[in-house]
Amino acid sequence: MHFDLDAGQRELQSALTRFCHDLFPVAVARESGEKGLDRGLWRRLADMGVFALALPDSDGGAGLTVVEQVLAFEVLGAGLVPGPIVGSTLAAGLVEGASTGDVVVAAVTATDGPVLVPGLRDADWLLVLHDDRVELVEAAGIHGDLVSRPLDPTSPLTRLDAIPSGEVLLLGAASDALCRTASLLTSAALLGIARRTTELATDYAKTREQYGRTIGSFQAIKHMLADMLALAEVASASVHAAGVMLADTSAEAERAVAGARVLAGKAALHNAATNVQIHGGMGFTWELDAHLYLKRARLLSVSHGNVDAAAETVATQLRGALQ
Amino acid sequence: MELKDSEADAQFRKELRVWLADVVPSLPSPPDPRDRWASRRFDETWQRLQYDAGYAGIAWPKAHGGRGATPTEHLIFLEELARADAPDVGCGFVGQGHAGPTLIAEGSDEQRAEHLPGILDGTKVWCQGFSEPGAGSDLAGLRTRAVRDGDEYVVTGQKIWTSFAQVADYCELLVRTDPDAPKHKGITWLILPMSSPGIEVRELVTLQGEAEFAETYLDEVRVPVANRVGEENDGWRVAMVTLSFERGTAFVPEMLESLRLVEDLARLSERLRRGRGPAWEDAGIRRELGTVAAELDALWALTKRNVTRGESGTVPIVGGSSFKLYYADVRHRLGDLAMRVLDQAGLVLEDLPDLTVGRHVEGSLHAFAVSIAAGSSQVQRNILAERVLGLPKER
Ligand SMILES: Cc1cc2nc3c(=O)[nH]c(=O)nc-3n(C[C@H](O)[C@H](O)[C@H](O)COP(=O)(O)OP(=O)(O)OC[C@H]3O[C@@H](n4cnc5c(N)ncnc54)[C@H](O)[C@@H]3O)c2cc1C
Repeated sequence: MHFDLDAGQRELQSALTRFCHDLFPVAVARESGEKGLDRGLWRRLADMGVFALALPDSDGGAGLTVVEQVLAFEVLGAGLVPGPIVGSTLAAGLVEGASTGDVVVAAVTATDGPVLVPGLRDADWLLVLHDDRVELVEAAGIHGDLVSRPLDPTSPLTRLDAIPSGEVLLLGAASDALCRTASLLTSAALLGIARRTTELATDYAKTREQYGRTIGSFQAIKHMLADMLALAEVASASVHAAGVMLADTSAEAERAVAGARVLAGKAALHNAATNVQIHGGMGFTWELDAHLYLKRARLLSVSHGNVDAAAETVATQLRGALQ
Repeated sequence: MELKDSEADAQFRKELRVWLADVVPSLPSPPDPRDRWASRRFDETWQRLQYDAGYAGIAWPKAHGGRGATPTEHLIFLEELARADAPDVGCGFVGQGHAGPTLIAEGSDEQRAEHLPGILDGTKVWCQGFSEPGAGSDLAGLRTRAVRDGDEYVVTGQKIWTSFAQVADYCELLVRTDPDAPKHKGITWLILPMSSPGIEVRELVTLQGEAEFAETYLDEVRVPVANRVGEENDGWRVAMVTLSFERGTAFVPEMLESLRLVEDLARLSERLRRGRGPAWEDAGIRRELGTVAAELDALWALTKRNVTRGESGTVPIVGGSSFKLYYADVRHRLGDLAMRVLDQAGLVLEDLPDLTVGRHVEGSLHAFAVSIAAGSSQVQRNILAERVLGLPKER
């Protein structure tokens, strides 16, 4: 057992963090929401290898596993990187041009209720994840209305009348595996938000002064920050463990992936909300980025699963293991 | 990053399982925990069995009579014990978890030779005399006085919350040897034989209705200077060494036990009815079962991460306090959930015919011990905020 990042994995995260810092400041996410995805930047993201991490070397990939994908998505989530990053990663190796960024692939998990697809506006293809299969639909053929006020202004949202149908790409175990990866990469992005908002709130608490002292010296604020840290730490162990178990195709992978959503969803929602609170009136403005983390967390927390359903899955697995 | 057993670890686990499958069913049934002496005998029997099988002092170095297991093997050991429903360490907790490791790190050769064997084979029981009525979270404010008289210290004062004091042979005692020095600089760590004249132990009954801890009054108790661990007035540093063991893996066994509790609660929720159907069919209850199980799984993963980091030499302080804080919170929610599942069956601290509910009700009360002892949740938050996030100190 060696349950910690190795040197290569640390390097992957720090290189990607620098890359996001340089090329994807939050202003880019804002602009992407308003004006559309910058395809040039999207290709740069592809050139960094993020979509192709788990593809074999022979297909132009890095030959790594879902563990490295998880670590990458933690960074992308923290950076609020715009565009359908989960869809394009899932599509690498399945849809021509996805891994190189030449085509953009969005993904949606079919659920009951209104059909709202993030990222479809900017996509060439749509992956539809069903319980038992994965279908591929050409975006140009899908009729929908762009939502004028999406909750997350950095993620364009298209409303469809129904789940579109297309060519069946995967069935059975391969389809299940893809759905689990979709869920876990989304949880990894949530983890990134939980971590980033802890840093942002801590930084602000160290500089903002009231009553003649920094607000970070008030125990009420300190304890909020400590809770954020603990939530993020425990969620990180959960998400990383799920990555390892998924890579090992362990029998407990399903429970672990669902558990990761419970932990990362909870941590991201709580920490993003607390970050707004700690910023006071500034936190309530459009100008400050704090609301963007909260809104992205809300979007991701109901993408490819949600916390309640994940908790049910863990409970069902728990009972199954007893029989 | 990997979670699988190495070949050697798998072999260790296999042998351990074989041994546990053999030994656990042969144990006598545990006595009523309110009977401290019967509990002590039971704990000693269990420790002796581990000793004879070569598992005592699992993580202690071989040179000091331990098994010298790697931290990973230590975790496997704890995991398999929980899996086999083996007894917990009981009144061996302070000796094995605190005093022994402290003596190994800071004691003299004579002290080690005298005390380690009895801790390992379970014949000697230790207690911890750190807290005082006026010094709890602020432990360094302790006032129990020790005055040097030749080659003895004369100790007068009062300790409180001393677990196992009634049955202990020795006490790891913190005393003030220099009342004029700044509070962290005048403390000394002593080995106190509990048979010394001048000690009075008064049992305190916990809210669980048992006398787990006691008040310990010390009236001119004479302790040889040879019983001092570390230098005079350097006891705070030694105490921090002691507590670092507590913050390491001390809560891991009961965290694993909590996973067993959730599993058992899931089983019970199928048998206990809620309105028209079993409690299991109540989505609110099912989700909370899943949530708590997921959180305990996550804490287990965090433990593995902390142990990995410990193996590479970095002190897992973030992991330690994050673990303790989060675990205390989960433990409270597990208790609340148990009470919801049990409904009126949660009104008894003992088992009902056909329904083993006692440990869940006990567990819901035990949650408070977790969030108060060994650094309360508020203190853990202070540690995380100040030492990890770098926020300004209180004072
Ligand atoms: C089951 C059990 C077993 C124990 N066994 C032992 C033992 O064997 N030996 C031993 O020496 N001790 C033992 N203890 C004592 C334990 O270490 C203390 O109870 C603990 O350190 C808290 O101290 P206190 O009880 O004096 O509470 P206090 O320190 O008085 O705390 C009271 C309340 O104030 C809060 N508080 C205190 N300081 C701060 C702060 N700076 N900021 C915010 N909030 C604060 C606390 O969180 C708590 O809610 C045991 C305790 C329990 C519950």
